[in-house]
Amino acid sequence: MTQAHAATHVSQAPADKGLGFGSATNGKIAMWIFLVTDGLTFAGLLLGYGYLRIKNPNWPNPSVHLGIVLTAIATFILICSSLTMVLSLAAAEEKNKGGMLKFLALTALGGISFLGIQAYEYTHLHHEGFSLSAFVDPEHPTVPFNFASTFFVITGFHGLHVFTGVTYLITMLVKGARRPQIDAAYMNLLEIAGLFWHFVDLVWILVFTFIYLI
Amino acid sequence: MAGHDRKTYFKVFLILFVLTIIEVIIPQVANKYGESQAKLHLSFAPHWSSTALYLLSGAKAAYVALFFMHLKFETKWLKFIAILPATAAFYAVMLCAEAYFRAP
Repeated sequence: MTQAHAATHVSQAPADKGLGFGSATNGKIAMWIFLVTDGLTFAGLLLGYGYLRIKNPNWPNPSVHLGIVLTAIATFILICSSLTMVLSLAAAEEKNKGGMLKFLALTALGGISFLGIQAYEYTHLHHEGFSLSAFVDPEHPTVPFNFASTFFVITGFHGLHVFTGVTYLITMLVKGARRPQIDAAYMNLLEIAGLFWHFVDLVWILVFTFIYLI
Repeated sequence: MAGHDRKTYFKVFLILFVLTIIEVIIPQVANKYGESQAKLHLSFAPHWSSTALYLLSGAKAAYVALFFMHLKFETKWLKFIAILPATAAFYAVMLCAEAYFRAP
């Protein structure tokens, strides 16, 4: 690092407060702690789902009722949006405001596409008799209604997170567009928003596997 | 700053993409050549397909956390806090083992 770069970098870089978190800002630490609590909530829901599924010998094969290929595409879109999020942050660090806004918009678009696919899948399933509290498969009357309710509760809870995330990203987009230049404060906020978005992707990777594939 | 280069991000993205493809193929293979439809409800029992899916999804989650969320380059403390929800996996293993023990 040149002297000039070091001078501006030192004044902007957060100091190590000696608490064991290195140069992580308070906001970053706080977001991680929140994500841990949110992760534990999803873990509780998934454990409950696991228990209900194991105890019921009439649980169907998910691929019979759920759209695996379409949801796999949705999963891929979400993974792409995680990539664009991280590229947005990389552009911000290079002070490339246009690139940052472009990738941030693509990330939000990915989230909206995911929600669109979910909405389509929910409508399709509803036509087949799926609801939050009931499901009767005419070909296999012993299939438990839990199959539908656990599906909607878990994917719905995740979907709300995606919706929140998209709102969060659009807020950051507007905020970033209105700033004359990218400063360290905004980069910190963008990184924190990115943490939330990656968490949403991470949880979906697990939910997709446990509900659709296993 | 380490780990902030685009090459790493694209490599991780490629790994995630390939792992997703493998994950989608596994249940199709298991359905076709593995046990019958009726037995799949016990998918939490030890079986090559469910074991493989747990490992693959765990690896994908780890890649997202370590590289996209930059955890690999954070301090030990933050890593420790972040790993806490994984303790749910411990309960899950106990749950599946007990249920499988009662009714194999």
